[in-house]
Amino acid sequence: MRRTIRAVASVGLVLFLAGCEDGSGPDRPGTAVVSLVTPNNNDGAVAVTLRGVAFSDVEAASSAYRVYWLLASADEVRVIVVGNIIAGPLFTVQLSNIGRIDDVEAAVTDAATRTDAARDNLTGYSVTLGAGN
Amino acid sequence: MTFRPPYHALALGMTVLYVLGATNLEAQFPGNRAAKRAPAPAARYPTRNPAAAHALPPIARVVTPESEPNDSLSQADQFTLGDTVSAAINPSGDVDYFITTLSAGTRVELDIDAQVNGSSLDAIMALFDSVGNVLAFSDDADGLDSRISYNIVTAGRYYVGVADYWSGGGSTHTYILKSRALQPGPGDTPTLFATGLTFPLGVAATATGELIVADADSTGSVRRIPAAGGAAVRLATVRQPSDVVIDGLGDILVSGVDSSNRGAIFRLSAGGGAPSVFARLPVASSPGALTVGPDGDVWAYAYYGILLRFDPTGQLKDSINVDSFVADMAFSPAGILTLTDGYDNVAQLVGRGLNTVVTTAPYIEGIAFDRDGYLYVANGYQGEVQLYNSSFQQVGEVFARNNLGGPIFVAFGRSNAGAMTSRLFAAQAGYNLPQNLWGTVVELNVSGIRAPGFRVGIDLLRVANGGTRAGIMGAEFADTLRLSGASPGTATWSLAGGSLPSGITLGVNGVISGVFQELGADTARVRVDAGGQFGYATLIFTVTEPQLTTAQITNHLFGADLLTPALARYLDLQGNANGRTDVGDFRAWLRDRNQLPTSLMHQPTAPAAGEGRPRP
Repeated sequence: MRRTIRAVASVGLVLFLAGCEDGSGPDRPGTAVVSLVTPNNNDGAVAVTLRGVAFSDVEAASSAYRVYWLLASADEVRVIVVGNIIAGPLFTVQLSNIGRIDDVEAAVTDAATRTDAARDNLTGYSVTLGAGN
Repeated sequence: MTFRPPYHALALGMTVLYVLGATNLEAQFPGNRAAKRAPAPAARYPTRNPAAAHALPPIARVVTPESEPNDSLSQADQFTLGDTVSAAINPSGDVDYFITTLSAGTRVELDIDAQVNGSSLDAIMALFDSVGNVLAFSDDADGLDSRISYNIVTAGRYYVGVADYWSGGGSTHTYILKSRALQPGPGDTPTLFATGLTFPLGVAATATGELIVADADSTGSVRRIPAAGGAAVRLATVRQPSDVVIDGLGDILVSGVDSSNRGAIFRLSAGGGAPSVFARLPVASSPGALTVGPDGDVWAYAYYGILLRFDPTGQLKDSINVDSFVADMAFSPAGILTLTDGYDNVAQLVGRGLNTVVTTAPYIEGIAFDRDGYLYVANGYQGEVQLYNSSFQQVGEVFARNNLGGPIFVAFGRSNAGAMTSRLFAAQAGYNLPQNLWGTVVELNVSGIRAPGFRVGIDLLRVANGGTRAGIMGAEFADTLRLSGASPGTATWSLAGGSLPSGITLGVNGVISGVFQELGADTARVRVDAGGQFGYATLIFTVTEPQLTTAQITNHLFGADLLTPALARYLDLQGNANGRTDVGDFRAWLRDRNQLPTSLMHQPTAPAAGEGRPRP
């Protein structure tokens, strides 16, 4: 009996230490708001890739946007947003641990104008992540 | 030039006119037993003709006065062929009858001179057999004066009746009746070649020696006559057929109307089968005369004085207002379009106007050139074929005048190998002919034909694989055009009109290739040249969309499940066709389907099902 108690305590310690690996404490699911930085004012579609943590449930940040997304792997989500896009919030995404939001790598991989022409140059495009409510 | 109503109106409506005329005549011919006789099928000719002009050569005659009363068959005045009788329709309503004895084989001419001499008489005249049946009728042959020429088949007694069209009469209604036996022409006597027709309105010879006839019977028929003659066989039904010609591909073109009574030119293969539409006309009536030019172009008379010119594939090339009815037309060996106005003129198209080259007695219809440019002109009302030299000077008094009754359309025959022959055929309805010659084709005396006929049209190269092709936008396409049979030389292909689908090109070697870049239908006319010959074909492309879903596109853009190259090209073509697929292409694809976000739509729509959900 004592041996059993000691084993459970060991497993719990391991799990605790694992959860606090980055020093931020246990996983805390949360919503991140992904916002667009763009040098243009006539964007019609953008493609964004997020990597680094486990993602789920992408939702448009505006009813004027339509989002399409795919979990490419356990820690990568690819998102296309279509609409008359302006700089600012694009979509929200659920992070398995909002405490690791700073670990997310985000990139704009494609963009197009509102007249459906692909951008040849993505200089000046980026996205930022912030913790949502 | 004068407009004439369509032959079908003549065939149908003028039959009524004829009946009215005959009834009117018979009302003035007491005791005439022909009242219940069916009208002649060839009653195309108007009963009023104020402008005709035809003068016979002056002949010294002994003039014999009539002997009244001669108001019935039993009281008929006797005369001898060659006599001239002076008489009068007097008093009002008077009818004069004359009787003579005629020999079999005689071509008798009975000629009234009244108006021409200043008389008040507007004559009508009929020829009766020995028991009073009407054999021939004439109202206005020479101005208002009547003239009949008729083949006497059976020796015996014949009656001639003369009256005033208006049932008038008086001392100023004088006339002379001239009679004579007409001498045959070099084309006499035409022999019966084919039967089984009703109201032939055009005849053409095929490359295998058959004749094709547009027969305006009750339903409208295209009939084929074997090379050896005999009974005509129905090849197809075409409503209100007006003319027939063999095009450069050996197919039969027939002018008629479609089920909506819209004018059209129909195409039949020489072997028969259902007619297809070669070209539609912008008129609600059957086009009239047809012919094919030395370049293979098809010419059609579309009524209202308009000639239409089509390329060999049926594409309209030109429209020329010649301000004239056109009964028949043919190209001369010099390449000049020559036509008859259905009345008294033969004219040629010079520039965009007509130049009259022959003016003769009405009513002329069919024409045919021989290889030297001599022109045979058929006059159905007079029952004659005249011959003109290449300067349009008449050759002899008449070429043929026996066994002919109009409307008459003529064509030179071809051998079973397609060579032109010296056989000249006349398809005729049979006006003023014995019933056995109604709706027949007769062959003129071949010994009188001076030279083989001039070919109508040319032989075009036939493309084996013209027609329709289906394509999918974004997909590659490759095909090679080829000729039917052996090519007479290296074939060179080119685009002659219309357009190929965007992204598709035609090589000089006949290879059609490329990627379909736009949706829709395109029609291209291609030309092939080989060994000095040429031909055309029509290619019809229909390009449709591939099957593609939103999920397929997003997965492709996410790099998860790539589209085929054809689908990727299609998607790229949705946007700016920059050679890669991108979110701009996707946005354009959504736009085309009204699937952009609601705020961007004119008509708000609900979000697509599954949107925003991760791929399984």
